[in-house]
Amino acid sequence: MSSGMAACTEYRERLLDHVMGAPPAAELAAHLKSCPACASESKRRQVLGTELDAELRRLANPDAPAYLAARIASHQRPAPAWGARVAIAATLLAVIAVGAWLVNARRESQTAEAAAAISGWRSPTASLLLPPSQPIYKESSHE
Amino acid sequence: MEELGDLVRKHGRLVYRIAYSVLGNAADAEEVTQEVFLRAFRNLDSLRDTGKFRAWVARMSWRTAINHRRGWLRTLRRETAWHAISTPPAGQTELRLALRQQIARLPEKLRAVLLLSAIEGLESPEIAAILEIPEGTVRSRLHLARRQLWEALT
Repeated sequence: MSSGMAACTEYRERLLDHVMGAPPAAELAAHLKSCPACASESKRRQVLGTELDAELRRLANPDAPAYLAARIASHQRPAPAWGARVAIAATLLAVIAVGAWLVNARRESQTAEAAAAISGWRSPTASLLLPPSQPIYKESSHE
Repeated sequence: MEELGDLVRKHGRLVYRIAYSVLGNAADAEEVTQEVFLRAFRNLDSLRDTGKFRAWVARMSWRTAINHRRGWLRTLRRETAWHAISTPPAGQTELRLALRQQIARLPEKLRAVLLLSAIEGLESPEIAAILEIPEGTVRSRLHLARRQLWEALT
């Protein structure tokens, strides 16, 4: 009896491979035919194994929500075609060139104004350096 | 060149499921799916062989999901997602809860192969390409994962 129980324990350890799909070895198959308890256990484990496989497939195969595809498509920002890219680059260059020209023109204008201001500037004390023969003030002619 | 909508219709399910296998919750899987398709569509020019789009986008899904998982908050959500046995959704069976619990206990490498191989239509060569490991390693890890799972549950 005890040797029979020991054999059953040993065979039940081997049942795992059988549950996982491997065909039972000849010795195990023979034991299952002669031992109703082990045959029943084998059957139970095979059913459980099938349920586990099905459950695993269910777990690994959730369906994406229906709105997801539409949501992704709404985020679509396709890269511009080459023609559009060239147009964008040309526009940017034109903007930069016009900007640079405006800055340069403004700078030149400011320089000219400054030069004119400097050339027209007279020191307030410059009249003191005039020779005595030259009047500092124009004589008034209203008398 | 295909439109983004067409690509999503063709490959969206696969991308979503790969992301879900890493993240274990729908919200993050949706976010990753969106990110993957937008990135893929932007970089479509760099894909020389358009016939390899499926493999390319599958690999991208895996990487993006792994990167996505790195934030501590997301890690927390992932943990609570795969370990969510204390607050099961309505109708969840004991077997499903036990399975989730045991999957969560598997080492990361085994869990990845187990979940990817359970995705419909994903075969060992594709899983090997996604994980960048030899096909033989996929098979041996799958066997080990199933064995550990079955030992714990049967």
